[in-house]
Amino acid sequence: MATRPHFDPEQLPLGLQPRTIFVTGKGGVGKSTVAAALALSWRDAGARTLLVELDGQASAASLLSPRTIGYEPTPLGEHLAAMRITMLDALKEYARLRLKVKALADRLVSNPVIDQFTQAAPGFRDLLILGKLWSLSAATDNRGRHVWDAIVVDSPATGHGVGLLNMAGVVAKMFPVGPIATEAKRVDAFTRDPKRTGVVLVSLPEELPVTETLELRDQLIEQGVTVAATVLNGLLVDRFTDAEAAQASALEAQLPADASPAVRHALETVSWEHGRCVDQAAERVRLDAGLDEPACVLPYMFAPQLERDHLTALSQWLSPAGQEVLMRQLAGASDGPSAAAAVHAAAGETS
Amino acid sequence: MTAHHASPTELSGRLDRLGVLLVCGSGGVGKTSVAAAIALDEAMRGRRVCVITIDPAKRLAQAMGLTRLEDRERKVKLPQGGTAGGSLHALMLDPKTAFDRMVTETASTDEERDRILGNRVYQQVSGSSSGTQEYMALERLYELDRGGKYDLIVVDTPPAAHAKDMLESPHRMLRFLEGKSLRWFLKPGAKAGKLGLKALGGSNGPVVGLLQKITGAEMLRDTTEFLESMEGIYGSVSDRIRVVDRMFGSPNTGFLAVTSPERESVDQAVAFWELLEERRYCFVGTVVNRVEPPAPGTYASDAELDALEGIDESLAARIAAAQVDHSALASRDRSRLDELARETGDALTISIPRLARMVNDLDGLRALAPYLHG
Repeated sequence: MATRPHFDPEQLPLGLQPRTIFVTGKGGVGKSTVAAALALSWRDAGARTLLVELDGQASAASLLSPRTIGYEPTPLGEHLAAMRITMLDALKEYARLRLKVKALADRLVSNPVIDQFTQAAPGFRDLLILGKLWSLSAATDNRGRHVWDAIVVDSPATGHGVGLLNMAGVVAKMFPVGPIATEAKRVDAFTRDPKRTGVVLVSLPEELPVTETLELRDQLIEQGVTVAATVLNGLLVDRFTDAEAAQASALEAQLPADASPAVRHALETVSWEHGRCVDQAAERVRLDAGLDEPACVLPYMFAPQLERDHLTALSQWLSPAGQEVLMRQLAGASDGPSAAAAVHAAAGETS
Repeated sequence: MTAHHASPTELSGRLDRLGVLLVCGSGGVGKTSVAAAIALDEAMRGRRVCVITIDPAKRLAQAMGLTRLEDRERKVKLPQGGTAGGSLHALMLDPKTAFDRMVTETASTDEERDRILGNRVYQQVSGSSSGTQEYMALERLYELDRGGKYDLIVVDTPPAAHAKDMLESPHRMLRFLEGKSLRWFLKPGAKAGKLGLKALGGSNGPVVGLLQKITGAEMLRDTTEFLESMEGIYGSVSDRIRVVDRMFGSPNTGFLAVTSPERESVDQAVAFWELLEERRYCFVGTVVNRVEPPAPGTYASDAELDALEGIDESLAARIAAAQVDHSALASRDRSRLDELARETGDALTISIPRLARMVNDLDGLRALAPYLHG
């Protein structure tokens, strides 16, 4: 492994300690995008980063690589790898560990009984997946260092996500003795340890997602899971001041009936975009009011389709320097429109 | 070919022929609002409507008089101006209560019922298993439909990774409750109250022994007990599940896909349509939510912007940049709508523009009506 002279845990994007991060949020908020961008930004900060997709959730790694991702970590460039955990693969590994004889484990896993059992047994699937994540986070190399400085998990959407993190505790309570209890307790301790595990909540600057994010946060805290950071995704950076938007509206109202449709649309765009920025700002205030630390923000990408380059841009916005620029702009700095132009240019450059 | 838009009567004409509308789509596309808006609109047109929803946003729930999970229909006060005879009820699904009721109704004795309801694996699975939510919504739909109190029942299906999860939920539920092979393997051990290699005969005995080795006897025993306890009601439950499944194919039942203009979401809607075609189910159409308002396709020239009063060079440049950005999105959305209509056999494609304000009360839902009818 190459030396990493620049690695400084204190300087990581989002100010997070290196640990296993579950990225979750309501469906459609862009959690896979944020998971991929977060993995890139950590890698760029020098952390050996593993991006994990879960069964039925595949998309974060596919944003970064066209290759099929399997159960073994696949390198995606220096210090970055991706893998996909399926219940069956995790079960195979767990069975081999417990039974110690590969042939026996394979015989068990290929039997149809197993499929029925995993469907009916409460929490068994979730426990297997969490157990694999625990072992990845605990893995060390021959010099005793952690193999992964950071593990980013593209987690199931809200609801299912809470279930996943809570499941080890539920299983530990239901089955207090036996091999499954040992595993459940170990995994439960892992999911509730703020040094090892945290959740990054992804939200959008709209009413329903913000409300759900705040509710999900309360639920997680109640379960003893640490919310490490909240990311407000898709925030429009205002190109116009209130006065400019008012001016554009007034001009639009005065346009003659036969004015060019392009000019009319241009002026409409100003009030429309500014209006949305105002609404979004209100939602951002509401979100931040419910959090201990203000949410990190990611700008809306004006792109018909999100490409690899946009992810690079988003990962840079997640860096401490990128956040500073965005925050200054959103706070309405006097260099306002020009800084907004810089944000838009950076997004545009990549498209 | 251009997208086929709703004439004032197209959507309502199709809905008039239906008694059940299943609103499907992946999470985060505004499915709940669309389902509620359609239900409200049909009620205002004079029909007796019930909307079944799962976990709606708080304010939307309050607007419809739903304060908590209670699994009961609530009457929603309709705004003025509707056609006489119309009514709207809303029901927020509690999957656990629905599951309990299914067990209660199908158990032949009180002992049988109590044995299932008291089983801790049952309690865990019925409350939290994501696969059961979808089925329980259908179960509830079946009951309401049979009751005959409504002209139209609109189901806001649970958030799923894929729209097709809904269609597959009855069969998943059957497979889940069946557990036949597992029960068969485990029976001797379960009867003896403990499981072990010695208690198990046959060639599969060792497999169960291996399973016990990795899970422990407790988990294996409890899970088996749960499956065993369901055995008594399995016959009647599976009959019912098959009846519920047949509802999908009824000419009285229609499906509406809700999507955003995003690539993944559009692809899913097309795949959903293909699946419905294959099964010959009735596809009502697609609602595309959050569409960028249309752009003229040409840009204002520098000279045109400069000619506007009080617009300096910097502002003109920013206006031009904003126009380019928004036009690109508008043209993407336009072509996605066309593609969607083309790939769903020119089915009804309704677009709702990205609204500045969120929809979270009855007035907001009412404001969607003009878009629904083109």
